[in-house]
Amino acid sequence: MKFSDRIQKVDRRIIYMILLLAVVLPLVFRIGFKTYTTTPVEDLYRHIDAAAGRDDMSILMDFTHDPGVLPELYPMDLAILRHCFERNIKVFTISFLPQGAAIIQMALSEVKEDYPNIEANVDYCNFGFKPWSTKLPIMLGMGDDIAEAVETNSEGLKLENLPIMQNMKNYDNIQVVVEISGSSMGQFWVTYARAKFGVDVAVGLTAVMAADVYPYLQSGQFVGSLGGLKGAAEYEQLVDIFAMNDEEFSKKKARDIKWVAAQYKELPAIAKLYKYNKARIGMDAQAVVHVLIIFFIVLGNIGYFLDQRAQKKNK
Amino acid sequence: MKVCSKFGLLLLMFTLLLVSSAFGAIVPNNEAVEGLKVENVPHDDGGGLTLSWKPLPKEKRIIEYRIYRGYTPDSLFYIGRIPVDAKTGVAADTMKYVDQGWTFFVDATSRAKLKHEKGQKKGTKGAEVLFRTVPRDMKVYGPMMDHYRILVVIPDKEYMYHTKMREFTDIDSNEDGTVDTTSTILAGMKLEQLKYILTKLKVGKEYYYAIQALNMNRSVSPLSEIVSGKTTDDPPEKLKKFCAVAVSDKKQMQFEWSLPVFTDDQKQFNIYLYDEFDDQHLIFTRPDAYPYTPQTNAIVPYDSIAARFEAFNPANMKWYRFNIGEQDRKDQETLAKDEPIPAEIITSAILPKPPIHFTVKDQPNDKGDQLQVFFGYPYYGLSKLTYNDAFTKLTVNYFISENSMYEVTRLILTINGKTKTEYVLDNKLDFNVDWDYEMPMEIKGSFVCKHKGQEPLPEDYAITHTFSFDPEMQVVIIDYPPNEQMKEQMDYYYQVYKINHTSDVYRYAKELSFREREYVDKISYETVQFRGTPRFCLDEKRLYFSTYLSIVNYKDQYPFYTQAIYLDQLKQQDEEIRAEIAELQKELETTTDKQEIEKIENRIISYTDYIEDKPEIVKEANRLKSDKERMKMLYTAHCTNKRSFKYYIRKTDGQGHFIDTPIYTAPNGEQYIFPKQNWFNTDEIITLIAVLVFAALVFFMIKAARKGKRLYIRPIAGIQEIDNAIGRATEMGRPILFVPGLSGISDVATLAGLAILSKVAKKAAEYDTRILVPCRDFIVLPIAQEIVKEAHYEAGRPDTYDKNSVFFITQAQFAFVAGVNGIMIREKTATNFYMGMFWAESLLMTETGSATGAIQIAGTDAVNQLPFFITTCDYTLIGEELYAASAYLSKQPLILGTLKAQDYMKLLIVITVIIGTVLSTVHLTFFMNWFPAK
Amino acid sequence: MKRQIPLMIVLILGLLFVAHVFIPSRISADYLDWFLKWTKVIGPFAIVLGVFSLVYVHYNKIKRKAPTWGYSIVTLVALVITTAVGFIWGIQEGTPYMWIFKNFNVPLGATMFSLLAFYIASAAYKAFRARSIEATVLLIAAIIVMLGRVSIGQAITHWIPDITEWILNVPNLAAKRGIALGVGLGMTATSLKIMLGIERSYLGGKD
Repeated sequence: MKFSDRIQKVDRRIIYMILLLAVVLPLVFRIGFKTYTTTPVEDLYRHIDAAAGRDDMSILMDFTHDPGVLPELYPMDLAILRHCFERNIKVFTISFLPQGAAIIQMALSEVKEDYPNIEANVDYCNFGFKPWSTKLPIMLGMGDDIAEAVETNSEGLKLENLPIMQNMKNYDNIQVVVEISGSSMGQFWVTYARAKFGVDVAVGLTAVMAADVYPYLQSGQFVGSLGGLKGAAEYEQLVDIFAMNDEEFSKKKARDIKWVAAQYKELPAIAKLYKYNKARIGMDAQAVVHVLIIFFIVLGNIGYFLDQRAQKKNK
Repeated sequence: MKVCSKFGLLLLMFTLLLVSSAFGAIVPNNEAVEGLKVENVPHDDGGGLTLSWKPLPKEKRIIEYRIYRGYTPDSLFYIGRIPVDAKTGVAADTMKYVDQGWTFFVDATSRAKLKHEKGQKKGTKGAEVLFRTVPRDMKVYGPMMDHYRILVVIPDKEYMYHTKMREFTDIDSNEDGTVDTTSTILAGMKLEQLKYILTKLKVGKEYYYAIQALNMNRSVSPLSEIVSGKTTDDPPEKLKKFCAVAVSDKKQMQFEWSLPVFTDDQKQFNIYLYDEFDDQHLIFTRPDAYPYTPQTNAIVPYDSIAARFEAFNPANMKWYRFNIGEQDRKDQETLAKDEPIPAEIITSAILPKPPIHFTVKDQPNDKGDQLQVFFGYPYYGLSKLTYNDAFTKLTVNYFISENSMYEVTRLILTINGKTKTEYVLDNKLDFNVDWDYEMPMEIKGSFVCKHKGQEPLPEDYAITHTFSFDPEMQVVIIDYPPNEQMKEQMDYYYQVYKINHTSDVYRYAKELSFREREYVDKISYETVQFRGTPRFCLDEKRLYFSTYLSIVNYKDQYPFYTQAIYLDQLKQQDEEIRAEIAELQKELETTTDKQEIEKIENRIISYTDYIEDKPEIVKEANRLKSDKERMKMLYTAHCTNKRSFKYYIRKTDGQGHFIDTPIYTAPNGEQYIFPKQNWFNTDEIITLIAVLVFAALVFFMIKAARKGKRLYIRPIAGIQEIDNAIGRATEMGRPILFVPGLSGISDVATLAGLAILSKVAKKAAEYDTRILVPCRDFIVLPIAQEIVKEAHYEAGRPDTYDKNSVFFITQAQFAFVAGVNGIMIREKTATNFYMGMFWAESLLMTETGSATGAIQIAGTDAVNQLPFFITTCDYTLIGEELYAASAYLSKQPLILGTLKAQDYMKLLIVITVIIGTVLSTVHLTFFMNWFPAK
Repeated sequence: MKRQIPLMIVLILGLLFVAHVFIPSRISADYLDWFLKWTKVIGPFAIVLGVFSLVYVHYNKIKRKAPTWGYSIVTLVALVITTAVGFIWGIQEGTPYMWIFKNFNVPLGATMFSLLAFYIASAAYKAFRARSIEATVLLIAAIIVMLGRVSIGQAITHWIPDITEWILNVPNLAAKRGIALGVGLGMTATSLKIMLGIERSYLGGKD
């Protein structure tokens, strides 16, 4: 067989084998491709970061998702919580699905390990699971009084007595509601909380759902969004370079490759933990596979090109 | 192949082993739930108890907690469950279940017989006292009804026309030995006629609860301790807000308050005035609107205060103090404020201006269950402002609130002297304006509206927003600091109130923010009646309810004017009253005492009124002889009146500064507005025209084709190749595979695929080639079988038809693919057809097909799967070509005609698109607006 | 007659559904509800047909000792076990049925689905050849989109993600809409043909 034929007809089993390696190896050995941030993610980061160090501002994270979508959404949960704990941003967590309550617990305890000074009900407060049917009364009620609408936290304690609630009254004290879900729950927040009380809403979604939010982003009803693993990877990156170094966020800097690379050298060990790199590692595998497919296409075309030339010569 | 079957058996045994082992490896569920407590729900109507208990540890792998309730400790019925994630368990220390409000009790689909809950060990208490849900056996649920509050939900039609009248006579023996007999006529129905029955706990009664937990193996824990709790009707909770305002020039007081959490057993709100000497005077009561939300504010004119408190003097207003009390049905009252509050004394200049053009209209193009409530001029708000880093380019995201009176066609925005007109309202506009971000800036917006003969927008009507930059948050903040115009708007919101024609209290319909201009009120069709506390008759297996139906608010004296549903009952009633009147008249003749005479006369008048003074509709109905016709008339009146509403809007700041619009009166003078159903959806007019044009085109083209006119149709390679592909399979002596898509028969693509199948199968039969048709949908299966069978008959080869060649694989998407791929590999099919609807599995099939070296022809209208088909198949029918294929193959004039019509229709659409694009580009949007948005 | 009656039913119900689009009134809405209820009822009956077909095909294979008949045994036994287990213990969380579903169906389905990645790679490798100008354009567009979706594209130049967005939003969307337009018309025409009885092959047999 001629060389040009050979590279045009690589056995499919070989292709499959190489592809398998291309997926598995980056998951095992970190490559560390650079992540480039996009505007919706930057907007969300900046929005959350604006509440840093304030005791009268908080963010509300709604974990209305179930374990089925964890691979895509859990890195987001971790990244946002880490951002908040790193920058001293008060966090409320809530879920309208019973499975979501367990995910909140899991995420909180996983991030809290690295932040021993963060205290429950002082720096964050977990509202826990609230039945689906109470979603509207709670969404609307928080416009008036959070403590009254939510009543108790996950431990059954009355909210009004908790230290974190001392300066928190209603949506005016919520910088942004971040809805992390595989459904269109974010639109509920827009319809009820945003339209009525003007609170900012942002979403973290699975990649499949991500395309649906563009109209909302364009109309400004969502202040930002994280789309799938890619969005999570970008957020991880922003937390690394800005939150970890106490830097002021700026879009220009976030896009400046050299500057970001320089920041990367100075990051402490905590930023290198697997749990805070999950999404980026996943994206590495994805990038490698894309390049590999391109490589195969190019390879096939070289063979084709050589063939054509040979044929022309023969004529 | 023996190896193969042996391997299969081995695999199965292994599976069974796995299944059995997986179910033995969990910690035994042998501990009962502990710490069960039952507590009364505070401030409620005495119909709620809260259960709390300690969850079992995570290792127990519990998946749900089941709750049982009874009114004696020896029979507890299943009432609900709390599902738990087995892996994560419950993190909190306690779990809660609130048994409150109306919950499901029994209906015709409930289990037939009383059944013990299984799972509990024999001989334990749990095995004896636990029952599953309440059965539909009246012997069981009938006596239970005495121990709960009962609400029966009855479908209207059943209640109106299919009940059984029966008279019940009750005998009460008095203390003095005399006997009172009362007879009541009730309407009887069987359980199957009812929608369902609901229950609620009774006040002051003891209920027993127990809990058991279910683990992943579905084994239940031992029953927890049986714990009881008693419901109590507590006094209502304190209202959080109460404001009093005296508007001196309007000579009225305005009050505003908040609602409590529990409104179920609210009776009324009482407002008290405390005078200089701290004496309490009741000056106003507001009845509840149960089951709806009542008004939370009131206007009390000085005159009406003076009527209740004679010494009232507005000059002393500054000495007066006010308080509000919430009173429940047991007449327990709780005052909102510990110390009464003084009134804020203002003049009406401080009050907001009422919204203009308040209108209520029937919503067009609906099924008759919506009313439009709207008011005011259009509003635009800013949802987001984004500057670029250099502060030279601003992206404005805006939104528009409008109503059907002023439909906005253009928005004109001005920033810093730069004006831009938005012709297509897509909520986004870019400005090139420099900004020194330390200074706030202004956006002014004005509107161009569709003119519909109403008074035009005032020329100077514009809304100005202010925005500033927060360097700390790095974002543009809107309406901060607010300008005067916005300040005036932002503080207020609108409350829509409505009342129907069978009621006397306004109820709250909706709160609208200052940005909103329209509200569509959903007025659902009435399809059920609610009746409480039924009697039951075990022999007849019937439940009996009150026979009265509310008809209309009559002269405001009888807001809930009711009529008996049986004519006989009405006659009987009338006779009784007439007898009573006759008796009274006799009495009148013998009485001499003036006062007594007056009393009797009054009674006679009121009795006469009761039988004579009736709403016209009722009189008319009662004249009818047949019960059924009478009922029909009354029921129509009942439905119309219950669904006709009067509306008004209150603009308020929540602090007692509010103003009302007058009640809306339609141009025909009617105040009650009834939602009408529509018989044609005007939004679809363009669609209708398009359909008609298309149908006409089809008609003419078919006619032309029949006349023998030759219609040219573009050749499609994929279709032309079908014959060759079948021929190839014949030559190779291998079968053909035909997949008619994965979706069901309701998908047009499947039908198109099946149409192609009939052609392919016929050809295959002629050539005597086997055709395999795997199906995923079991409704498609028999149709495909029939098609292939007929094809063989037609080809004259009925003997070669094999029923097993068209078969069902599975419904599971990817399992189906696995099956199809297996067939391709084992049967070495020479030609594969994929015709119909495909999803993510498309490439999995075609790639395998291409690996086996088959010729593949695909056709689908799934746009996202087309690339996969094109890359892996030899020929692909793209979108409409799939639908055209059967026409090509049959070459019938009828079918060719439709194809040609399709082409002309497409031409028309393309012309329309081009016209629309050109016109919109030069800012002529009228053409675009003709077409519905959806 | 055998033909006429079904065709009449198709025509009448078809017209009713067309009318439903233009008539919003209560009767029209109720008609749709009523009809949907009936559709739900038909489904379960059809299952019997499917299961019967499955059993019949595989039973025949075993009887004839057709090639690979061992798999047919696996299929039938799996069918019987899953059904039996579902009937005996129910299908809620924690039952053997659910266990089978979670540990067989889900992973097997996921395996099939993830094969897609491999197939895409090999399909792309085989199909994308710069045979003509059109094919070359397609090839370049594909490479740009693939690069633009991961960070490497951005690393090369920020134009790549921007062009990716553009390709997806403009030419791609335009083509999709063009196809959708044809599909819509094709569907309408086919429905019309079916309603008017011009297209009858779905009834089986003669055109």
